[in-house]
Amino acid sequence: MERTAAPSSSSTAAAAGAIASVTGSLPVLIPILVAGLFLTLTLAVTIGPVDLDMRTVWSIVAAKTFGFTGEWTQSQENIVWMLRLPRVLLAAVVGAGLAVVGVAMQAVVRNPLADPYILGVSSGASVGAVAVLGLGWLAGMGAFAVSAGAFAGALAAFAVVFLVASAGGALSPLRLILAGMAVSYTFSGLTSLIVMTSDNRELARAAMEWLLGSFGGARWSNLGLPALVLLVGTGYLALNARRLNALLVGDETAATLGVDVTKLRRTLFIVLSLLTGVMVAVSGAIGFVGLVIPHIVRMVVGSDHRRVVPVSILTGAIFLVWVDVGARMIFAPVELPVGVITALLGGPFFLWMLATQRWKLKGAK
Amino acid sequence: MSHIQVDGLSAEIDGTPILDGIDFNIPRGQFVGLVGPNGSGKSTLLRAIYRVFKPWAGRVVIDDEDVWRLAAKEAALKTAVVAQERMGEFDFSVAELVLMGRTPHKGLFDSDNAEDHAIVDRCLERVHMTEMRERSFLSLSGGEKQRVLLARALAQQARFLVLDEPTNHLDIRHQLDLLRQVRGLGVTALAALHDLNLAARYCDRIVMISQGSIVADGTPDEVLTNERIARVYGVGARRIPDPDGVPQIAFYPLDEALTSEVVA
Repeated sequence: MERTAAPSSSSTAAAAGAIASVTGSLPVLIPILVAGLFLTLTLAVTIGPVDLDMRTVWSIVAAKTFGFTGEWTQSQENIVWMLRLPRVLLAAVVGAGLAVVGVAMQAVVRNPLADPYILGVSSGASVGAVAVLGLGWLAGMGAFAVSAGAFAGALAAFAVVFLVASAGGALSPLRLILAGMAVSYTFSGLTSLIVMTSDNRELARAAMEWLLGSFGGARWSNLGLPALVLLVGTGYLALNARRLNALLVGDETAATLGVDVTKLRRTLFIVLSLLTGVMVAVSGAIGFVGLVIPHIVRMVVGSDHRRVVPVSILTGAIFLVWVDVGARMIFAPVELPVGVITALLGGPFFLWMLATQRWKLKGAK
Repeated sequence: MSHIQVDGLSAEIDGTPILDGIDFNIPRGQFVGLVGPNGSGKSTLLRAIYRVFKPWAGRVVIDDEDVWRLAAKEAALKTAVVAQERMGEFDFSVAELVLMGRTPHKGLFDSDNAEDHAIVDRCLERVHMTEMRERSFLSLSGGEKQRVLLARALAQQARFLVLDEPTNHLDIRHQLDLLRQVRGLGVTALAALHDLNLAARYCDRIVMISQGSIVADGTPDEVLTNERIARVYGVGARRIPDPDGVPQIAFYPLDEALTSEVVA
């Protein structure tokens, strides 16, 4: 994109110039973030009760990938390959997924306060997942049953919230947030109910993880589906970035720009529910990543989804890997659920967004 | 031969009829003003024309094609719209917003090319907003915003331009500027306008609707008579001499003593 230096004569021009100067530098920003992600992944694997250096980590990864051996202990190899690497990768995948879901969800409802957690979509996914385990639904689907259940739950929650919020015509931002809260409470109650009344003893512990979010269960075997869904989902969003821009301006505007709004929104509902469901199925309801990351990214690169989508994916991945490192290390050897940390960071962030009141909750018609 | 043809358009909202058999057409290059009191159905008519509100009967035909039978994208290549923009909280730069006008020209895998950027530059130039291209849209004044939206509609390169109250919230100078710009474009255009004097000054033709039906259709001079304005708007109106020869009207409340004069 051809960009000229913005004039800085007035304060408004300077503020706008901030957007302009960075937009030109996407070719710089992306490589920096990719490098940052690689560094993050490597460092995160080195950090833990057993200290490892980066060289050992990369050697082990290379050896396991290309099939040779080297001078490290079996336990070092196990720690890197069996424990830490799948966990770090899962955190990256889920972080990327939740961030990009937040981005697109905000466009769907035209509200910067939207996030799968705040809108109750994550709670819906939790109910679906717990129902599959607790009630034995979808047993025929085997390993994918939990993800399928979570997807169905997410879709149901998202649909209810959207329909209630847009009842009577225009989508009201205030109704949206309130509907999200109500759905979230209801589904959390349902989750507890299913757990309490189930014969499955394992479920209570698993349900706790779902409610708070954790990467403790990460294994290579449960990394594939989230990675695949992330790839497909973000691919779809990236291809539709131009349409998301139009949607962000408004339904009518999008329609007059040639976007089939009903069809786009329907597809987005499915894609976003699938992303949320699969992420929640594997890691639980980790809140606020989809709120914080898109907001910060937009402050840096503006609103164009052709920049926001890729930058959010990378930033979300980096962010959640570090949050998980914190979850493992802050009170080591006791491990915090990762959702506790995102809540402690995200809750106040949400309040700050409310307080700064550029986000008017008044019903814009 | 008419370019845009509205045929027996009828619409209702929640069972209440809003439009009742609207018929009119717009020849190529004509700038038509749509006027009428609040609640007369102006917005619904425009939204039915730009394919956002589905009428239950009638057709909107542009160059021999019924817009309601077209795909969203094809329709957007025919009609560009300048409506009241409620951008909410998300901001875009002026250039980004104008570039959005290129959306209907783009497939899933197309990226913006030099031609798109050249079109954006040209459209910004036409509305005199070139210096503002990197400004944030939300930081602009009302008049500047409307000009940017006009530039976006132009970047769409559609054959027909629809404007819904484009002069709302603008000061007098910007109202005049904007309509002069639209007029100067020479495109086929339909604009809903509140201000009858503005409509009279800039439109080739005026369509006046009231309670969902057309009550008059003709040149400003033909449509804007004192009697008709009094009947349709319920206000007193008096044509005043204008050196440019444009019909201009002074208004006054009908329930005051002057009422007798208007009837005479």
